[in-house]
Amino acid sequence: MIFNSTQFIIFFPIVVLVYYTLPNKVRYIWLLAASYYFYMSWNPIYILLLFSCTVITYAAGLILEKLQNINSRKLCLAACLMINLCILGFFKYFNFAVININRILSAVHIGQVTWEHNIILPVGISFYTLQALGYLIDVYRGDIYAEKNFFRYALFISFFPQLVAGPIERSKNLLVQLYTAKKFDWENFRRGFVLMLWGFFLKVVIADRAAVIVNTVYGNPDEYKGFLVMAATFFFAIQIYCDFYGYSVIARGAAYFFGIKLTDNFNAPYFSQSVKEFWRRWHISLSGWFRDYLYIPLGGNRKGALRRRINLLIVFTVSGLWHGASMAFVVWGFLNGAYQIAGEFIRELRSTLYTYKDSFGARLTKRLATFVLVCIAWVFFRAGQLSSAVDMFRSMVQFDLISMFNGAIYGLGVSKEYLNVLLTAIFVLGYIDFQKYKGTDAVSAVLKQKWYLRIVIETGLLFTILLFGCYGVEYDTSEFIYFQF
Amino acid sequence: MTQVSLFISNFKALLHKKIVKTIGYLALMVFVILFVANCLNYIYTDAEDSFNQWSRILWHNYYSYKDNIDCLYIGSSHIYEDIDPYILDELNGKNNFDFATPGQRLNASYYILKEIDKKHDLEHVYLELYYDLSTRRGDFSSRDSMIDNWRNIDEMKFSLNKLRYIFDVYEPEYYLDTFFPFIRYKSMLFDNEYVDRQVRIKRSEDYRKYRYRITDDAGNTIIEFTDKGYDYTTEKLTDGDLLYQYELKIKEQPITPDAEKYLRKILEYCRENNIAITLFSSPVYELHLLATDDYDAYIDKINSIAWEYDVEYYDFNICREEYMDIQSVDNFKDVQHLNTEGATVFTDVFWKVMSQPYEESSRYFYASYADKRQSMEPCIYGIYRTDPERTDRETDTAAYRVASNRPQDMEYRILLTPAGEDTEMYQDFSPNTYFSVPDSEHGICTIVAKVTGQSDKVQTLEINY
Repeated sequence: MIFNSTQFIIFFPIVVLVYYTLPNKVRYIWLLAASYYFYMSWNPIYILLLFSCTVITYAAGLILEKLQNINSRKLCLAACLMINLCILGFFKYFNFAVININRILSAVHIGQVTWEHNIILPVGISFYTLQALGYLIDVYRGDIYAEKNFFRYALFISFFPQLVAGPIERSKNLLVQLYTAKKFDWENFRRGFVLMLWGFFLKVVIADRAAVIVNTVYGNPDEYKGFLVMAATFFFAIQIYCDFYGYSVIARGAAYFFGIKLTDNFNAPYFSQSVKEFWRRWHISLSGWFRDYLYIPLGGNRKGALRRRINLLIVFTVSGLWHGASMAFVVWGFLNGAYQIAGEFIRELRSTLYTYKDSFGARLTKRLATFVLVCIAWVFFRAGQLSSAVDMFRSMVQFDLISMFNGAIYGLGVSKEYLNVLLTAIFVLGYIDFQKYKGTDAVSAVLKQKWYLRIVIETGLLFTILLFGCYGVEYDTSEFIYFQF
Repeated sequence: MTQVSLFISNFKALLHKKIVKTIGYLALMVFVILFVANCLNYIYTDAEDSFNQWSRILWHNYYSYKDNIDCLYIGSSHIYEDIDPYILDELNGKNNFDFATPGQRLNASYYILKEIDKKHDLEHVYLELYYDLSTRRGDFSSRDSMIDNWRNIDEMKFSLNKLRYIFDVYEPEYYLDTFFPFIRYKSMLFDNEYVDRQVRIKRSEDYRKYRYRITDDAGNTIIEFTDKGYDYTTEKLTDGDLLYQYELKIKEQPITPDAEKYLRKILEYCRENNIAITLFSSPVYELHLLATDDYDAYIDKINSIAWEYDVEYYDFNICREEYMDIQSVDNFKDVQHLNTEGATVFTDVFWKVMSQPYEESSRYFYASYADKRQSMEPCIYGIYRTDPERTDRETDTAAYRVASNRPQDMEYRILLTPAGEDTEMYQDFSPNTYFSVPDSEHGICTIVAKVTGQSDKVQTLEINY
């Protein structure tokens, strides 16, 4: 069951309605049941993995709290981390490992490994595993008490709005909220509704329409070159942002209906003036997780410049690997780390480029440069394979001025009218993101409007989605890109 | 104490005000959504489509029908093409009403029957069973079935029965298209010409007054939708049209599980509500039946279900020629449906059969379709395209077969005249009934048939392919 499916549109109101008709004390049990049902709608058998992860980390949390001996605590934590990472590794990296082992073996002319490797990745495993491990490390560090109520803890791991694609919540944020009795609050409903509308707009009006262009070009790399490949890469940058941001916004909106505030996972990342800033604004919950649970334990920036840079590369490479079991993702992650290190080396050179460092021109140049660098990295991400990414770059640099002007872009599966709608929607997104960058939240701004304006905005958004969105029986309902991670 | 009660009353007033404001806001929002959706429906739903017009007019006529419906004729398009309720009014002195929309399957008939039974004291229901909709088109979850059901859903007034109909027939992925019809026309969103045409039609007096009439240059009516669910049409099948596009294979499954389920539901509903019901099949042009591998399998299956429920089933495709001589192109609008001329003949025979006891009326019919074929003079009725397995896709050829009621007793000369080319003889008189042409080729196919051993009497058909 995905957010942009009719099943979810039926499932969600039922869950909300029952939630508020039940007594406070049992509401979290209902949410837990709904979350498990939501997860089982993909593949019921994989609920066992979610349940195992929950049981293991729950028990480990209680044990860690009881243990006094530092070595025993370390051993307990390490064992639990290993078990969970092994499960994640098996499902996510087994195929990747077998393929690469066979490559090495065939290079040295030794027989191949013949293990079957047709494992299907359970949806959301990367997200809930990190969330559970984050909790465990917090308990180990003594930042939080271990949760005693198993059902509440199980809900923390499986809360359906953020279960399959984040945000990766911290126990200090989500688990704490699950304690508080939630009363019906109309303001939460209003905010949740507007957020969900905005999320659907991002997903079905922008991301899924842009996906048509991206899939056309990236699916036939030999047929397109120059401008069209660049345009497709631009649209992919928009697609992945709106796809993932859209999911996060819908998740936040859905959580508001239960009176729960989830982390805002994105903060106008494409207005960043450096790659470093980009990563402070993109997938904030993951960046935060890697910072707190990998970068800092590795030494962070406490052990000198060289070590800091190595740590940065390690974190970004691991982040790439977390996204997908492919060398292209590893390169994507590494490249993002490398950008930041390179940025430090040429900091002085860059500062000499701008007479007025904070002028409009300087900011615009920095933003464009950051966007281009991020787009270059996205090519690896979208291509999925190193060789495919190289092919795309080769096509991209082939000079093809004519295709800019001959309307070839309308031949990429999106008609002129829908392309105009897409570009207008991107412009609206750009405006709203820019306001967000400056500190103005669009949803709060909408909610402050007079009632009649709110009705116009909300129904306008609803009909924009209904009229211009990609959904329904004529389209394959697109899954969110981050489900595959 | 006074302060406490004041606080409580203020709080209640505040709460009351907030609740009223919230409810008011939601109601207004729903109103705006419905208003905009209706505007979009008006602009985008297709009024050019005569099927949509038919459903709209039929449902309007039904809702404005003041008298009680005594006899309801329900089923597929064969109802509104083949059964003339005005003739029946005279024949049986009751109020007769046809209720059928194009491609109406048994699931739709079930919910429509329930809808009509709510308002009318139904005496007798005559359920028409067209075998193609229960076999080749008998998958009720297919896209085609969804589209055909929308024609009823869109026009049906809101009721619990309608909601049950929607939730029973449609999978969740169809809900948005079902509740917001304009969504189905999203591909026309930027087509200004289409929008212009729709608005023009919908503003026309005929449309607003639920009239649909097509006339020829001399002003004679060719098609007219009448107010008792009957489609008056003078269109005629021609020899050139005697090509049927499908070979129907129903031997293995004479009725799909979906169709059987709803047939049983209809029979059970009538039994529970003491409504008399009779099953029947309208006559189709012989070509249609000859393109079917085993029509008797269908007859047997329906008979077995009918016997189970102790109801009567009459298949007018096996009606004896001496009672109903209808197999002439002049009586048909197309291969499936009669025209008004044919309907007049058929309705009369139909009522003769229905008004007699079963034992009496059974003399009107052959025991089986095989019996009927054996008793007929050898004759050809057209050609039909054989199933895709027979079509050689690699060489892009389309395979056809001559539709003969006694293929083994006849010989055929096949001449092909591709458009803009000379006539070529595919085969001289031979018992072979199969021939193939390039899939993209169009032209005229001339079939000359004679009974084997008799050279004096030949039958010739010129068919467009």
